[in-house]
Amino acid sequence: MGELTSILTVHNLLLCFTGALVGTITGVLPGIGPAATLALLLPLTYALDPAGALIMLAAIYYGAQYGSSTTAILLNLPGETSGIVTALDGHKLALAGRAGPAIAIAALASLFAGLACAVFIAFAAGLIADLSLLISPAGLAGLIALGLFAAAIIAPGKPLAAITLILFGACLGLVGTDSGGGMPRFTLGMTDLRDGIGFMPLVMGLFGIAELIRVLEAKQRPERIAPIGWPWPTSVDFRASWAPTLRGTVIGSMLGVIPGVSTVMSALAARGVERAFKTKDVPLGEGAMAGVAAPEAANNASAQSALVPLLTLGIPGNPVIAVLAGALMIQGIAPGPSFISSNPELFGALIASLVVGNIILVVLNLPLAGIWASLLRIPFRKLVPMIIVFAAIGVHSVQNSLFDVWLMLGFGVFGWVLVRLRLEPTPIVLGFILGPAFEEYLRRTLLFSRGDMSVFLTDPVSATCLAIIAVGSLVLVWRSIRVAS
Amino acid sequence: MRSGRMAEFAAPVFFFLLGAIMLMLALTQPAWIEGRIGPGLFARWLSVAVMGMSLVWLAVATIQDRLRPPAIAAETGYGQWRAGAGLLAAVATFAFSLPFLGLVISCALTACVASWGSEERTVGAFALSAGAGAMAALLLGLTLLPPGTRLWPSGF
Repeated sequence: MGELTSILTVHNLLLCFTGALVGTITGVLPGIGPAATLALLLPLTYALDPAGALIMLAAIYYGAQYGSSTTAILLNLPGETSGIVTALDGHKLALAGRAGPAIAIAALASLFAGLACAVFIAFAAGLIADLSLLISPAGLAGLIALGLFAAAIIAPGKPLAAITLILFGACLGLVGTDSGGGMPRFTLGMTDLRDGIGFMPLVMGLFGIAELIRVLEAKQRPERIAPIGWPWPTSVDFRASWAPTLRGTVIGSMLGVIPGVSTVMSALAARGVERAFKTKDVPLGEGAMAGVAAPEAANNASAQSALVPLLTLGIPGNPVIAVLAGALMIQGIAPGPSFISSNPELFGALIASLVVGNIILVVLNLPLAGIWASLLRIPFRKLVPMIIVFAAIGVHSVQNSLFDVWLMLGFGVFGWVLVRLRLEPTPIVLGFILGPAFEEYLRRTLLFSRGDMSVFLTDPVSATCLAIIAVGSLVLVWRSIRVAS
Repeated sequence: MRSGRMAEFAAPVFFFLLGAIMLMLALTQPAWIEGRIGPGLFARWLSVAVMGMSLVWLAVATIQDRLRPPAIAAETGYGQWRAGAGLLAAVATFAFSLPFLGLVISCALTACVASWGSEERTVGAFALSAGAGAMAALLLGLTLLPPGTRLWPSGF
């Protein structure tokens, strides 16, 4: 309760509202996703205290999940990938003139999932964090490696490519002065690189600039906007959606905890489970409310429970969480096993923001759905120059460094190459964050074991993780060849 | 190698080369210092791992290329190069012009180049973007950025 009151200051409520608003707009506008938006808005959070920054960034994150459903239902054009699943039934409802009730059910299912998941995080995160404090450095190194491997395997696209990109991202994370001996590493003799590659130039280049290029090259354009109609659902709609909402919430909460499981995968799983149940209105795929409620509840629950591995083990499971982790590190806070015990007020503020933010989002999304949809009339090309200007000012203002702008340009070029090679930049950012953490645990382990590597095989947690990685790698290669043949 | 699948081979080769460069740099660092882990150890492991995974990736891509039927057509939608060139040129414009022209004019030029990258082709659109960029820089410069931020060219 104390944590809830800590967010109920005008300042924090405004930050939560602003984050929810920006997140909704981000979710509505196809093209620039929540990871890129968080990256672009990071400089704004420097002036905020850590709790305020976390509240605003978290609100942007789950606001994007809400906003995505609006355009998915109205236009069959999700602003964020998780909306794809909602669009399957939601757009059919819109075509039948029932966009209003569909948007309302999506918002209410997301609200329920958000509130339930906030309670889940409040209880589960503390327990997991307490348990993780008992794990040795070797075990934590193994867990980080397993988290990265899981992220690479489950991520959309080619797993082999994702693993390679993660490893390369970890290499980038090592650039700078070595924390153990104080020697410069991978700096190419540049003094500007002695403090390492800044998180801002990296994510702005890879997500901001490269993502804009990808959207402009792909030429995504919205279609005609369907009329919204009366927004309040009927009693039949409620009866058809309460059970799918519950199931979606449970599925999303469970899957979200696993690093690498994206919100879209949780939404797909929830929709898949609904196939086993009889819908109370029309069959799934023909405009069933269950097809809106279940994936919406699942993607919102998944988005929020993805915070658990970050807060308890320091493992960001997806790119948006990775940017959140970066924001915390910029504020001088290291997410990991001791995060909750060292920063109880910050953890409390985050939980409170999940509760308040979800309520704000329903208020924003129900009556204003038509306004959000009309944002799509703004041509994307008109927004791009301003986004570039804000990105450039943002990166430069962090350290008043032109070198960071050049770095952003370099990563923009690199991101463009990735676009051309049809690769996702996400694994690089995950590797960039977790590489140095892995090295730190490796260093501690080898210090305690006096350089004996066999400790990774004798430690039960580490050995289990390594065994899973080894078996998973073999299955991965075998399956790739088998699929091709 | 079949046409339309160049990216599948170029990507692992590209990362193999990056891994090789990283390994060369890592080899200049000591792996161990008086029995303790040095800056080069993990860097070498990672570089070798990048190279190794790239080779596995390349091998799998080669096997898949031999076993799969020819691609029907190359994926469309990525034929444009102006967007990338324009947006990257906009960032370069910012970096080049900021020390001489100050934040406001630099942002106006950046927005103008970025609008070319986003396929605007009218003078009015360029002017609108430049004006919006200058206004944004002025507003941010006067409110959020540190007082020492140089908004105008030196001498103004």
